[in-house]
Amino acid sequence: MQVSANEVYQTARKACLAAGYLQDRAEDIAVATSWLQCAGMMGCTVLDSLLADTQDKKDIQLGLHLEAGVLQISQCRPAFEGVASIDWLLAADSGAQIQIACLSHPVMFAGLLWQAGQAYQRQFRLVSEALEAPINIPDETVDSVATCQQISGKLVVGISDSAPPPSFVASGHSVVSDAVWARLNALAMQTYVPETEASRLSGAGAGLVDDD
Amino acid sequence: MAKTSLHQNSDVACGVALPPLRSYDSVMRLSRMGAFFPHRLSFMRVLIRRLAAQKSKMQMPVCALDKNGFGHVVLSLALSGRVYSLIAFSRDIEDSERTDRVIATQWDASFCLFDGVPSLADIDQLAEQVTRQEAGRYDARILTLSRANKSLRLFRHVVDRLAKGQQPDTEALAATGYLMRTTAVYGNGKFGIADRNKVAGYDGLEGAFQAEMLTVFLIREFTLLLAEYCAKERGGQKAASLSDAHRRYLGVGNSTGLGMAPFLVTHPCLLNSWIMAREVAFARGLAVDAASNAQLQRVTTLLERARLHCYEWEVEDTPQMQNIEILRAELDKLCADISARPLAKKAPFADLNERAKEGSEELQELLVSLIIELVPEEVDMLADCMATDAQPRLIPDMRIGEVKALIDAHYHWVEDIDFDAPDADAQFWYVSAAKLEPRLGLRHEEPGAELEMPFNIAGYIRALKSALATAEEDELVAAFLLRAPEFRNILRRIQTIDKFPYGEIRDNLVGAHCRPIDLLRCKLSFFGASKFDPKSDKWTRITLYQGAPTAADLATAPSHDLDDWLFPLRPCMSS
Repeated sequence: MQVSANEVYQTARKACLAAGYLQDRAEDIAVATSWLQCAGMMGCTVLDSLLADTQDKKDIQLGLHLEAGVLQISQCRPAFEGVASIDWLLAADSGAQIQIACLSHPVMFAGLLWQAGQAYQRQFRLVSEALEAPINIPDETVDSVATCQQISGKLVVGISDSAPPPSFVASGHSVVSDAVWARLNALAMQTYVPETEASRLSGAGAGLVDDD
Repeated sequence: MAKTSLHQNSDVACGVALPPLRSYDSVMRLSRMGAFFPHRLSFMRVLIRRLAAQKSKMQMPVCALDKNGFGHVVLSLALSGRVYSLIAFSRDIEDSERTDRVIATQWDASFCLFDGVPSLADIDQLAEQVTRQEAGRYDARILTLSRANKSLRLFRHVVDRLAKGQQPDTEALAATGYLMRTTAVYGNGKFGIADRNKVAGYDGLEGAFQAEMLTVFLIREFTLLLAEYCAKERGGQKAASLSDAHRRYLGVGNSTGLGMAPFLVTHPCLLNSWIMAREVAFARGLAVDAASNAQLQRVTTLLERARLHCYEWEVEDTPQMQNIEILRAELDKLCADISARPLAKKAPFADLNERAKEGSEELQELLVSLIIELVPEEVDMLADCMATDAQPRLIPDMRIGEVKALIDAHYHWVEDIDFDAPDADAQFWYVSAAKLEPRLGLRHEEPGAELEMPFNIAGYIRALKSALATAEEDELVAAFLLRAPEFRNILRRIQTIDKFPYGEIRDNLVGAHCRPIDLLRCKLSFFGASKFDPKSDKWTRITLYQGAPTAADLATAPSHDLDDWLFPLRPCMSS
């Protein structure tokens, strides 16, 4: 079905909240999802997969530590260690690095990097044995994000002071599979409070004859 | 997109130096926000100025109504070289189906704003969707979605009178003020309609809520047209049209509930832009060194109009009616005072403001609107600064010591809250599963608090302060968050508010004494709503476009004559 960018954002945000993400994480993942979706990289499908993976992993305690000035992450979950490590890189001097032993959902992580790069006007550099060449995010095209799908094994992420090149700004309607959309919506629905008679009576317009 | 963003760390606003502004600690209190009046930077005023400057002409390419006024109509209007069309579907519904609630499923009329002029096939296809509103599915050609119910009493009265060749009774008109009342205007991608980003790219609609305001303007035209159509069907040749004065006086009603309120909390950068533009405008008015005779005459005219307007403003809500009665007395006194003792020659508008300093917040905020009205050349350009792309953003390289200073600067009001009292978090904001209607629950009595929206700002600040107590002053925020990630959201908000200080409401939003109606009035005043008519502390009725020029006026009258509709008066009194 055709969905608007804001529908994707709102549905993704609520689905993340229902999955146990904190508000800020839910918002960041939703922004990345909407951007990936608009950029033609099936953001909703990526999120659907991410949430299926993390539904029982709501533990916010981060699995990372600092070692000789390098942030070491054994298992990088985009919404948890991913968000924290991006913040850490943005605060660090140029040349700082994070080393990730295992990255789950690399396209979502790349989406987060892209958003951070655009917002803070910085560029990230990803190096992995699984990649033919280092990847810069953001870049002139979104191909670099799609390439992240190939990442497996150890990944090193660095940051440069240089501003990224003018890049793709995603907006507009896109197509999402009915099944994926239904699953995300079902999750989002879990953030709504079931109606009671008491709550119904406290809503706007309650208790009034409107035939006036 | 916004041409300039207004924020605290800037010393200019739209290219002009920022004057001293009222403190955000004073302005951003619920009681004061709940006393705001519409003003010349309100979004309806901005739209009407633009339409008037362009002498926009409305056309009706389609009118397919039956003898009872049921069917559909298309009203098209050009703005900045682009045509927008309101497609209005008028339906016969049972009286029992007519409710102002968001959870309604039937309406007297349903609408969409279409990008361009729809074909007959478009209209056929949209009829199935638009009449079901939230249950329908739309595409990006649809810019907004809305619906309305008749005020049956006034609608019937107006049709009866016009059918007999008479004008409606002014008292009846004044008692209601509108022929139809909307219950929602949806935008920004809801149900598949166009995203805000698309609309903001259209010249003329880039400002805040301009597509929504255009929709309501055309809905007003539709209500006038429908009443006259029905009268003509009934009265034939002897039927009259509404007089120009009656047409201008009739606005569009609206029932507004809690759905409006969360927006102000979740959009701090945008809220800051709105409030700051108004404060800059007010400050520029106060800074006028000497007024022309015309400006001084205008003070007298507007004050008298405001006074009469308040005497026409009658509501059933006891607290609001008490406020109105106090305001009436204060305006009587102020008018008499100015008559007896003219304003100072130096800084006359500051003198006017000074004379109201001891008055109620309603009086003080009414004067904000009035003083802004006196200096259009100084303030109208600020409308360009009232939309912003800015979003809350973490500053990960800030030191914890700086964060503590920001908390002291912007959240000292939290210290006044007794967190041990049950009142401190007595309420919680949530979204109901019933049509996603935002609601406010009682935490200690109702289920659902675990799903509350994150509006306990004071509580989050308190928890953060406790966590920061043991942190090193020179530790970076990003490092602190590695071990305390749960504070990232509130840290981001604090850092954002330092740059956008009018974006934070400095009151406990989950406390027992929080009145959502104050948030609603603030937001609605920026839309340009008048005649606030609270029906509880959670929802209100209002009137939109009352006194505003009509489409016929736009095409014919000089544009400067079409920008003087603050504090509208009923026809007999204004004439």
